[in-house]
Amino acid sequence: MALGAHLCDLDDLDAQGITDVLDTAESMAEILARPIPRVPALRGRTVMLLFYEASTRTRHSFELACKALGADSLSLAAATSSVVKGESLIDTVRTARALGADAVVLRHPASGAARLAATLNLLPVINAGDGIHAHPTQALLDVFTVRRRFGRLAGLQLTIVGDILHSRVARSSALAFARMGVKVVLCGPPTVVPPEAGPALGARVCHDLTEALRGADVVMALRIQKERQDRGLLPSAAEYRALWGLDAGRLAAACPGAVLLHPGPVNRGVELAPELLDRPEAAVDSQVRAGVAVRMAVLYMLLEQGAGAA
Amino acid sequence: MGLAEKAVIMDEAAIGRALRRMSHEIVERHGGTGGLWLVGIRRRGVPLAQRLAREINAFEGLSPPIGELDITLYRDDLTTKHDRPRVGRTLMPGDPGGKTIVLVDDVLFTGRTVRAALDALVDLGRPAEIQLAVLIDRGHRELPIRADYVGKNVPTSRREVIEVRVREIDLRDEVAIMDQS
Amino acid sequence: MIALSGGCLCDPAQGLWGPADIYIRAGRILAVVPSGSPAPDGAWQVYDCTGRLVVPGPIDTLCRLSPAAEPWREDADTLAAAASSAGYTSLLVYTGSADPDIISGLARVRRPVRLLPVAALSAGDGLCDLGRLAAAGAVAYSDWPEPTSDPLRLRRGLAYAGALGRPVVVHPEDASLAQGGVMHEGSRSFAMGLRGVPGVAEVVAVARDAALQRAFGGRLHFAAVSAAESLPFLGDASASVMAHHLVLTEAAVAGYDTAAKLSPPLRTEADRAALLQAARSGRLLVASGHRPTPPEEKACEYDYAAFGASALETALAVALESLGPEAFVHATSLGPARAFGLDGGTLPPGAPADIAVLDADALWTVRPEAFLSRGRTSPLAGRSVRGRAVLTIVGGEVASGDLDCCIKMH
Repeated sequence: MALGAHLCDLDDLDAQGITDVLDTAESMAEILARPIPRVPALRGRTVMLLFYEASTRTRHSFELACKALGADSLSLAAATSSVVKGESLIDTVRTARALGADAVVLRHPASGAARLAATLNLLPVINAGDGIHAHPTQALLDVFTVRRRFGRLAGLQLTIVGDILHSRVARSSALAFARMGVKVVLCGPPTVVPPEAGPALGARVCHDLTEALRGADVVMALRIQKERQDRGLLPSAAEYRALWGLDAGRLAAACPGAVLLHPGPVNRGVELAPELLDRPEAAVDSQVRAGVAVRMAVLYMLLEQGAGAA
Repeated sequence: MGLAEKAVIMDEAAIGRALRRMSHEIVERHGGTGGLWLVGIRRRGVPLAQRLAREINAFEGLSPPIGELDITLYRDDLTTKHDRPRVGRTLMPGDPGGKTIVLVDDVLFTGRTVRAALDALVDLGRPAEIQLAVLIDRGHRELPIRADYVGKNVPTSRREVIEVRVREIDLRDEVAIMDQS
Repeated sequence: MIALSGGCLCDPAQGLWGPADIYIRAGRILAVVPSGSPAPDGAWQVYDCTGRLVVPGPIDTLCRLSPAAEPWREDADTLAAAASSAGYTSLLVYTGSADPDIISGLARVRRPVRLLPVAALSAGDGLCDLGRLAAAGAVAYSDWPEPTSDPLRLRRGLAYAGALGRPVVVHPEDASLAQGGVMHEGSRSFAMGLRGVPGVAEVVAVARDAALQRAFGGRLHFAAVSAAESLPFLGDASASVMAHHLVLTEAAVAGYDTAAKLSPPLRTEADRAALLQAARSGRLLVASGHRPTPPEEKACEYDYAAFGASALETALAVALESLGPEAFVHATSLGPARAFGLDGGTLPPGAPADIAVLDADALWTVRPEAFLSRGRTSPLAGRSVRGRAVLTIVGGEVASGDLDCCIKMH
């Protein structure tokens, strides 16, 4: 299916739907390359950025996307609004609509929160990360970045290394790449890469890094979070680095010139050896740029082209 | 609402003649091809611009650079349309600053497409001059816009629709007048 | 003096299944005779039950009643009205209370259903005053919906309650393995990004608690089991399954539907099939697991939503349709009476006249907004179910019923 009235996750987006977004994002990338990267496509529209979790990258990326399309963005950070006073998500979305917002971009710590906001059908909802469930625009920008590098997607292999269990990026990206014909391998400590991850995401699970990297055209390293260590899911940083940390030597197991992705921010020296980021294969900066183009495409398609919500 | 074809008002030969005449007018008015760009408005303006360039090349021995302009993101009439036009790419042969740009489109009607194209063009740089070439001018302007080069003036009623078909997209060259039925 | 004539009586304890006339006097069964036999002497108010299923009064083994009186919360009146309309004649109500006054107050309720209070088992590290609570009318002890995490406390509870002749009801879930999960753990929970409760969190708790009961005696009942692998470990304990688990799986959680957020969670199709088989065979009783929640505790993010559903008004229909009449009586009446040492479950002469008359063929659509219960969320909302109560008789008197629809008085 094509992009509908909302973008909550990638469940409803088939290969053609993803391709439509990527193609539109290419046009947006062209606009971003102009001296004055701005078009009036969404002039007069207001996009509410509703962030219940701290995030500078994603929020700024959406803000730039709004700006480039001529839309106004309004940030409602959890710490500065009635969100802390216990107003329910449903009421907050209603308020956003009442304030004249034409779309809501939602970042929320609970999985399924975007779906809940979307069920109100008051205005288009774009999921900017819900709990550990989905981060669809991140996945689309990853696919966009890789398609640009290789000129194709089908037949490639993506290996994702890290804490798959707690990663909405891994979930969405694995699904998006698999849908585009990319073979996906999931790798990391067994405590956070359980067997059910395979069938859930249409991927192969492999706990040995060298084996998982074999044949990989794209390697995605995930951010390792300290609190997972505290909860006993991950051993020490030293243990992680020794078994699943990526460095130039390990990466040699992958295809020559394999692209390296990271959703950021990077823990240098834990999941990635610092020198890797300076190699041409590292696409981290391209990912950031692609993020604005992809978010422009999604905003434009939902607000201007979509059947839209009531 | 369907469309019924009423008449074919230009065939392949007529279109060819019109483009040839327009190409001469362009070069004559401009005094050559130096600093001249032909920029087609997507979609059917693009093959028309290419053909004008070929015609110019035939008698000048030089083809002016060609650009492609997508105006989807500049349109002000999208919300009244039911289709989902795809956002196309804008491709320019360089910085349009200081150039004389001839915008090329198939039909001039309300002028809103041209207005959007002008906005899109000036966002890309500051051309010395912008002119407009259209294969068909069917009247009913809603904006103070006129064409500098016209293939054929076709008086129409608002109910009618002009369809320009080009080989590159529609597999044949002709202009038809359609009626909403 | 009332008579139920012509209904199809299903009373497996007496080996009765067929058209029968039932005569009730002074709140008790006077006689059960083949349909059409001469009536005993007396002036009888006759209810024509032709075409209906007549069963010993259903007893719900798992039903929450929060003592906190708030206007939007279920209270004893709304709970009893909902249960009675659905055909229940007795409810084990889980109060979580250790206050003998609350227990005795509930135990006095006889109409429109009998409330059988289940008192708290433990408070802090110790046991509640189980003897005083028994005297007040508690029929069992339980900390449900909290799991009983400390095996030593359960050992003591089983011994103490056993001496009082009352069972301990536990919610079998290892809290450490469950780790705050909100649905069944599997590829679906992984894909949805929701923390899962693995089936094994229940299996180890069932095995442990059953072993404690075998070792130290007492009577043990598992409030609700949800995993197929739990079944071989039940030991000498009795156990219930919630009716929802007979017809729904984890698929009901799709779209983050908070109505399907239950504890224990809905699990896989294999689990559902095994639970259904165990209920048909008589190994599992079928409970409602009624746990009403205020609407705002469901109209929110799935993670934050309350566990539980309004189940009293759907459980019997689901059980009857899933099990058929004989297993239904076993799972909802005879089995509960035996497991908790209660009167009921069969209708011999002299027994209290607690009876439900059901229309087993009535097809209806679940509309939670029309529930009598104050709990208005159900994972069955919008689904069609078959079977509903037309007459509920408690202590020989009509407690609720749709008299127009089915009853002809002479």
